[in-house]
Amino acid sequence: MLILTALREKSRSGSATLCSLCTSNKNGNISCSSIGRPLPVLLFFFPKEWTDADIDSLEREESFWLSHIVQFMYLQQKRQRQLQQHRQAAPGAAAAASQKQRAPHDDQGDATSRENDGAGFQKESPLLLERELSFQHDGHEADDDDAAGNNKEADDLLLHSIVKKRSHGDDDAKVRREEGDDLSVGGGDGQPTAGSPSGGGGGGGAAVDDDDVASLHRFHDPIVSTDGNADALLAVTQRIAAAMRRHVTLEGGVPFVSLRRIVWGFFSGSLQRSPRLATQHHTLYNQLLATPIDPEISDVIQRDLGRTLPTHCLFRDPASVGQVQLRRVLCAYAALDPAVGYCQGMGFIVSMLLLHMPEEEAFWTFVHMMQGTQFAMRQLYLPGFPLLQQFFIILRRLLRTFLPTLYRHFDDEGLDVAFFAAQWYMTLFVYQLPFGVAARIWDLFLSRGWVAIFQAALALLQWDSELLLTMSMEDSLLYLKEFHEGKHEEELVRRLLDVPLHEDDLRSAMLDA
Amino acid sequence: MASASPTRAKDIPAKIVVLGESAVGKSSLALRFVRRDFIPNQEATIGASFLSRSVSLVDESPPVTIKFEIWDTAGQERYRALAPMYYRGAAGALVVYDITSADSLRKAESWIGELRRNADPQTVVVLVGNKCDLESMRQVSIQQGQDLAEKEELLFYETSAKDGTNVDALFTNLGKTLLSRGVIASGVDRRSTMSRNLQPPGSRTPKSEQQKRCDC
Repeated sequence: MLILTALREKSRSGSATLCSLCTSNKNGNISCSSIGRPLPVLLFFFPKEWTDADIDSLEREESFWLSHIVQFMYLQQKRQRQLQQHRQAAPGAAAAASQKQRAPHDDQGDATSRENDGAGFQKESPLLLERELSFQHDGHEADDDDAAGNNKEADDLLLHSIVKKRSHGDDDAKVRREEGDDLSVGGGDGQPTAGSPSGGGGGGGAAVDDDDVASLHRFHDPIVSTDGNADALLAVTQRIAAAMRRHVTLEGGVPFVSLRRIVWGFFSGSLQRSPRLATQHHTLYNQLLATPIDPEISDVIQRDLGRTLPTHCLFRDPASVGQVQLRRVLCAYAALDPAVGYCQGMGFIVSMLLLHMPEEEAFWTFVHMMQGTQFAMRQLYLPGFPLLQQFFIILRRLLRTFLPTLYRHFDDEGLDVAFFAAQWYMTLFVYQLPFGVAARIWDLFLSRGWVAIFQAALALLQWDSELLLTMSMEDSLLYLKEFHEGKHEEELVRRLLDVPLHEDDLRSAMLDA
Repeated sequence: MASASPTRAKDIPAKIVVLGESAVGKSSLALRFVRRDFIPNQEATIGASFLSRSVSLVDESPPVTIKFEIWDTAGQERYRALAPMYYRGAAGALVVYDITSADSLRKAESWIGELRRNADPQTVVVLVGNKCDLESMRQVSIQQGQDLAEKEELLFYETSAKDGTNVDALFTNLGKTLLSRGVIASGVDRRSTMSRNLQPPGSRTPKSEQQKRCDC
């Protein structure tokens, strides 16, 4: 509670912003690094006896600060892992390090487990996470499994280090302050290497803390599973998610670009994962990268790399970091989900993610957007475009309900939504709107689901409806194809939120369609 | 919007669909014609994109103006599911391949087959070998293109959207052919062509049975 108190004081005095919090971490004024992983941090801050009302009463800034801490913790975790690997890697091998070497488990010679998991994920089901779900839902049985043995061990190690750090939390923080919160020090400080045995002494402590650390449950969707004590954690996560969702809606988006990484990750569900799952994911990502994919798919991907956000400096050049990462993420996804493979449009989604987060996070966020039940974007891209067809039907109906005059005009002109709205859905407006505007819509999409996209569609059409009513079909199509200056993002978001469409309306419309 | 030219009463609308493998230059070809412009890294087309340009054919008697209403489609195989709503009722279809890719010619052949089976028999099909400025990388000879066009009785052009070679000639000639074959004619009621042309699957029927059928 020390840190929360500190945060609150800062909040009251108005002296801190999100950026300054980040800075203050670097200066060591506030150290959050003595605690382990994203969700435990939140749990640490939200005492169990808190009610919904307590969490709701959190000030907006606090809520976002907490998100930022989560991001910070996550970064730290990643850096510690990198350090671990760095220590294990043979000197000089770094440059030539294969993807395999980057996965800590591989270094432990965990070949059996890797192959078992990998083969299962890739061959049996594109929805790998479902497999993880069943794999982990078995709880203790799974833990005793040979295949899971090493994962369990790794978790114990991490757990051990967390417990140790928590018990010396304050001292640790002081040390960090003095040392300028250098993460490399944090990494070396009592952090067990993956090769070291898990101490028996740590085991007892770990059991006590299992509640906090063990499970980072996906909050709206059972895609990512948990090991143990799921319900309590799920409830807390859901409450936090609900509070954050309200803030995002209230703000009409995420007020800081740098926060999108955490907020998008959180809302997509990709951030909420146990340490073990995170490790599995990392290993799996590298396996996917090494998995050969259908050459025709890889050709189409290759051809589209230079044709996705071609004007953006990060994507302009074939050797640009954007294009390189885009290819890797798209190929990995094609390997993960051969039924979808690659469909034109997906590149725009991945690019948008890559503009806000590192490659591997972008991949897992994308996986959640594709496969999570809330977004189910893979249905959009599957052969025959099943979800797109459904969306066209719904948009037609919504148009008829909300903008009946325009609907009649379009109908008279023979203009159907399918002629202009495909890109809106397939690229979530990235294709058409300036990045800043699209990102605002994404904030709302990720926090509230497809309803935000329909609201955006209706808001855009409504904005220009008087003009469109005077236009022929051809002129309307030409007009709708482009974004027109003068639509300020604040105003667009305001109009979007004003569209009286509720998630439940959309849900029932989906069932009808 | 440079491409939007005011429709005059005497303009004859002609719906044109552009088909072909991805990245052969469909969008570039359409943009070259409509905006006289070339963008090296043209964004991949998602769904389809609409463009239009009116062209006066002064050597016709009487002189006429054709308004080309161009549907530029996405090239990936998967988007074929959406193609019928663009080629149905089209006056003309450009089937584009890339002369530096033998594979794209095979895709063009399958497009021709699909048009034969499903499009309006009146639709005038033009086979277009694009990127003819990249002579050094050529994989498809002019002869191969011509042979295919003759066999299928299509118009044939090699074009370069990059330097503009043959682009205007292609559309002018297509316009003339459309007129001479009576596919389009002055005095046609505009509405009747448009509404006939554009019947998106599922737009009139709530359960889109049509869409479930794949036309390829």
